[in-house]
Amino acid sequence: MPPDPARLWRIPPEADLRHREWDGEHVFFHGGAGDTHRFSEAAALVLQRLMAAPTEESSLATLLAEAAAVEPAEAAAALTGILKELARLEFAEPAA
Amino acid sequence: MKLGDLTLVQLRQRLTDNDLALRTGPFVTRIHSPMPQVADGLLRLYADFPLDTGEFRDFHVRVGPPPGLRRWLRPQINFWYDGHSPFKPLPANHAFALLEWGLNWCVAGHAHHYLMLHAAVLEKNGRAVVLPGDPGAGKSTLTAALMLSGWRLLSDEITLVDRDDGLLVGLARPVSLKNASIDVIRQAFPDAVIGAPAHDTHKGTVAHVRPSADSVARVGEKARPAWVVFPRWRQGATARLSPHSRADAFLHTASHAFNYSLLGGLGFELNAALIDACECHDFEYSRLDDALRVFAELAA
Amino acid sequence: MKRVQRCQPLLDVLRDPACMAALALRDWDLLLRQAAAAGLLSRIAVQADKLGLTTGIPDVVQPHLTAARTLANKQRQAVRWEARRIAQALAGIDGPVLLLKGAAYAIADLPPAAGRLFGDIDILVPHPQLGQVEAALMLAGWHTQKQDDYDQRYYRRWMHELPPMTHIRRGTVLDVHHNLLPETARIRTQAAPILAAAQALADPPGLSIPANTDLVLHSACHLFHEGEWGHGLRDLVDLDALLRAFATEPTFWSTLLARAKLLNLGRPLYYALDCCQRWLHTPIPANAIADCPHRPPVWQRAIMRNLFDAGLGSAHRSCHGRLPKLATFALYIRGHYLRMPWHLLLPHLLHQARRRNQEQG
Repeated sequence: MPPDPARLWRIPPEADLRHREWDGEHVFFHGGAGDTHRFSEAAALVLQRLMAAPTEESSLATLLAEAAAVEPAEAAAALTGILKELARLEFAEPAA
Repeated sequence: MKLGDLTLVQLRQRLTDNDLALRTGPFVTRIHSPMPQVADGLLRLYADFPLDTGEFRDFHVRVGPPPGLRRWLRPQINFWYDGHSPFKPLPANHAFALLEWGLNWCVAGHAHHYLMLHAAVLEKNGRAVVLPGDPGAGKSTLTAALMLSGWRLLSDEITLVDRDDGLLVGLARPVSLKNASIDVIRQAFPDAVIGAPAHDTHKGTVAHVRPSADSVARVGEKARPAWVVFPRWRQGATARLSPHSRADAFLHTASHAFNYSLLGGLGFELNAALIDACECHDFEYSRLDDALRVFAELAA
Repeated sequence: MKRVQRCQPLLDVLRDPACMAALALRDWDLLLRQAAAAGLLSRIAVQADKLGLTTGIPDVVQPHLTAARTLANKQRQAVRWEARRIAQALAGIDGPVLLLKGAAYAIADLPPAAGRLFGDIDILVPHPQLGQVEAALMLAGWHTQKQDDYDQRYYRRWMHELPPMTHIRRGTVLDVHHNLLPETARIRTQAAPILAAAQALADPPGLSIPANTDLVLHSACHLFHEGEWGHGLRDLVDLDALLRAFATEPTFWSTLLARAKLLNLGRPLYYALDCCQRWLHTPIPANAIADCPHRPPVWQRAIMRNLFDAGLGSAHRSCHGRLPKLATFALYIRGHYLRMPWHLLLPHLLHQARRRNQEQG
């Protein structure tokens, strides 16, 4: 899926996500699929933002850029990979 | 009334008549068995346990030959759970080991009002240590040794977490040992009561250590979790605790639990609360006395 | 009409869940075992909770009911998630995609869903769409398990469904049907009317379920034509719940009979209504059974009743009637017999038996 700054991402309905963090390591639980995963700090940041509300790709990229103190372009590239993985694992999806 | 108040003859009779109900922690199990090994094992290892006289049993089990003609053709026995047999048949002389595996199966397969982890758990001075163990890591030897040196045993295999208060619930059943660890414990604790070994099981030689009287007497006391320790026996290693990532510990206990997935979101919350409450450590050791010393310091 | 008396206290509880409030400990001991063996423990546990009976139930019994409810809740959540993934995978398919049985009850929140345990998910699609559907599912991660050529042939050529598809990551199993009964069955039925009468679901969009009458007929058909008698009583409970819910609609019974005639499912409906009435005291108007199309001849009814009763009571030893295990085997044969002609049936059963022996050896 090519990046699209305007694309709105969300947690899938009925995913029932839960999150815990210990010493900088993030664990997420997906109630619908019954899966438990450890995600990187970057992915965790994205997921926590989506758990608060559906968000556009561009905003997620900004969030990452600020948190990691990198250029927006670099953040956007990393974000593409993160969103792809989250979508594959059914933790996030483009809003219809 | 305790099981040890019966004579062997009386015990055998009641087992044959399907008239023996044993209480182990929160569970009452009615046991039906014509096998002498079962009666012997129970008398040797469960003498301190209460018998139940009520009308409701949690589990109904039988250890014995299959019904019908097959019993004459193949001298094998099986474990039956209310008429249904979940395991492959075994030789008759493994009867007691089969009962123990079966009793674990009853709990692990059904007691979903708890979160159930695959870990040993013991308590000292009001705090409990949870020992998740990969097979071959020496968890059972350590568990038996801790119990025999004064720690209260809750379980050697299944950690039961109460869903309402997060405290740990005990079974105080015999500790299962395999192969070399049987001799290690015999030598380190000559007074320990160990049941007759079953040879050539799929796990090798298996024997069980009688739970301490204190463990059985106090089985009704829930315990507060304080440590999660991953033990590993390594030749020549000095007994040493080192930090273990809590996220890692969470994932390990979750992936090895009996019913973490089945409990869904509740499983996640209960397991997380356990990790929140505990310091998580790796533990390496080779000598038992060293190991016991480190644990004694931990609990002080 | 003779009402079934054995299988107590389970049957009393199924007929009237409120009676759980007054059971003695000894009855609870037996009830839990009968219910568990029949796959109905979660159901009575959920009903006890719904009726607010929990405070009156003995403390020693409560953990068993809690555990059973926990299991049902988890499965319900899993089925709902799975239905969403199926909807997404098949969003591009031309034509209806129907959830059947358990999944239909769960997604549409129908009464049989309460405390129900689920196995595979079943869907019905138009026969011409089968290839497209299979391809779309494979793209989304479902794969046919590695099966020998014989089983592949059995499913694709003779049965009314694809071989079961397993999701590569979630491990869930999906059965894709193109008819309710196989083309080789002795009773032939058609899928087109069922697809045409489907009710579209609001959420998730893209999925449908059969019309009410068709849900009933499929349940009746499944119960008496499949080989799975271990779940017989549970399937009857589904049927009873559906009938009680739908019978509030004034034209339901006449519509049901007309539909049974159209779909040629009068015979299984007859047996289903008869068993529901005798076992679960389902309120059924007298003429509904009397006017069933393709009713079996009188001489056959007593024999079949005995066989069905033996099958329905087979789950737990305390429920066994006078007929021995032979009856359940006879029903299994009958299940398959109805689905395949004899000349295909014998080689098939032989093959299954040989394969089962190999697995156990």
